[in-house]
Amino acid sequence: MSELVKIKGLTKSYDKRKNALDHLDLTIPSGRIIGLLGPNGSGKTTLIKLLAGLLMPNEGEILICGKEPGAETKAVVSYLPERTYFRSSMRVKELIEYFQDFYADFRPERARELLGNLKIDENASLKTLSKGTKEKVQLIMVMSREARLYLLDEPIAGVDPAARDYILRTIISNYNEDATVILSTHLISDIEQILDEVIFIKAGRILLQDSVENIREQQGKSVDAYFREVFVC
Amino acid sequence: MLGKLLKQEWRSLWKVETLILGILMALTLLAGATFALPIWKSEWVGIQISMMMVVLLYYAALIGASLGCVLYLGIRFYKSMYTDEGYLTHTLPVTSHQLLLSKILVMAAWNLISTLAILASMFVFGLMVASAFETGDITQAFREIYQALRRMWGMGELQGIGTFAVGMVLLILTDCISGPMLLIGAITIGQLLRNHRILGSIGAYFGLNTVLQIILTIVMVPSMVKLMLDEENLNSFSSVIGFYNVMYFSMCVIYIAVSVGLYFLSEFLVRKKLELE
Repeated sequence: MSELVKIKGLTKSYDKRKNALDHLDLTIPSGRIIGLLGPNGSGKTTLIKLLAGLLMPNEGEILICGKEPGAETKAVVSYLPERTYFRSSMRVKELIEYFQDFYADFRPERARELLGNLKIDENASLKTLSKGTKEKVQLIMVMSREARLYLLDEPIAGVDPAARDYILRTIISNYNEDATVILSTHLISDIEQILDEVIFIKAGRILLQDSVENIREQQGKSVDAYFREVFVC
Repeated sequence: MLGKLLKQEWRSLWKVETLILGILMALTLLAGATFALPIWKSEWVGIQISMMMVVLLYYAALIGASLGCVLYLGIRFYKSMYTDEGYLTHTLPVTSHQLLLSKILVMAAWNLISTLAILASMFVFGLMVASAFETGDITQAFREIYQALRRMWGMGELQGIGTFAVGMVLLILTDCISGPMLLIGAITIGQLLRNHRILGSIGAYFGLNTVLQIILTIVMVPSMVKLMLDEENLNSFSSVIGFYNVMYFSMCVIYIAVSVGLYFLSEFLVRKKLELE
């Protein structure tokens, strides 16, 4: 398995009192579905935003496919933020055109198929869609790319169990198998079955990076149960 | 990628900008048409004030449209770069230069369109008012102005008028770029604050404008004093034109210098200091 992301000594602070990420070292291989797990405020979103190029580090280095975050890495990284981020006045078909314009790896026919499965009208304006439907549209757009790295920040937070199943199915059945999916959440039991590997993060530091199989074998418990044990309050 | 960014940027702006300018044109025709009403020829004492009110309302519409266009450009820039929409904007596979250039060019184009629309509106309004009150032929007035200008040209009084016209056009064009650049610079500087970023942007905008005005004053005052001190200069049309030529070209150079400085500062801040919340 080749090395997709290499992070060395990564530090990020929003103020002088506390580091959101503290001299973090991490190597992420390709071809894996990885759960980035940690309690609120542990640095999950900060790490994902740094990988997506939305924040600048104070110290350290990030390499994605051997390159620092920039225009070239953004061409191979597909990012889903934890909020609705499309201009509400856009129509769904305009979004497809937008993604097609900018991302060479975007597959419009796949997006149309997924939208069709959910009976989402391409002529619909985003402002007329419910929050849940907007989130599904976002996921469809992001997963319709054949990216090298998918960064999904809390994709199942705040949605009903049926929608969760749909989202997880969409992720598994649409991601490029040579790519890596990094998925941050604290709803571990819902996603455990799709994960190859987990990263536990606490106070901006990596506590553990291991395969789900190893954790189950060595700890004799599920990732969810082990997470509760490690992050006990 | 710049072409695609320009296309998307244009799409995000054209509807509201066209609406604002469309409303201005409708109000221009409405205000101009009121002067064709027979009531203005009445002897009523309040007629002068009513007339003044219509003109003032029209000016308010002009100022409203001008401010509305600029404000919308600023709001769209802020939203697309530094709010939730920024999550899409800053994950596009484009460089910060391409991103900023696309925004500046489209904003400058809309600034130029709104300036031309405002000039057209003033011309149409003036024409409608003049034709409502002028009993004679309106084209006769234009002919007289043209002939007066020709006479002045023959007497050498219009020396430098060509340069004056070029300076004026250049000033409008540079102003169309420096206006958005001030907005972009101020909003980007405001993002350096951890909290109250909108307030920071507004503060930076007024700060930058004050600095610009100070620079303009420092550059303008010497030639203005020179013009004022010599009474002969004040009575000569070509001397006054010459003064304006110096002023317009100096302003163009200052606007360009400030815009270039702000562009590189903004690009650096977007590339190195981006902090999307």
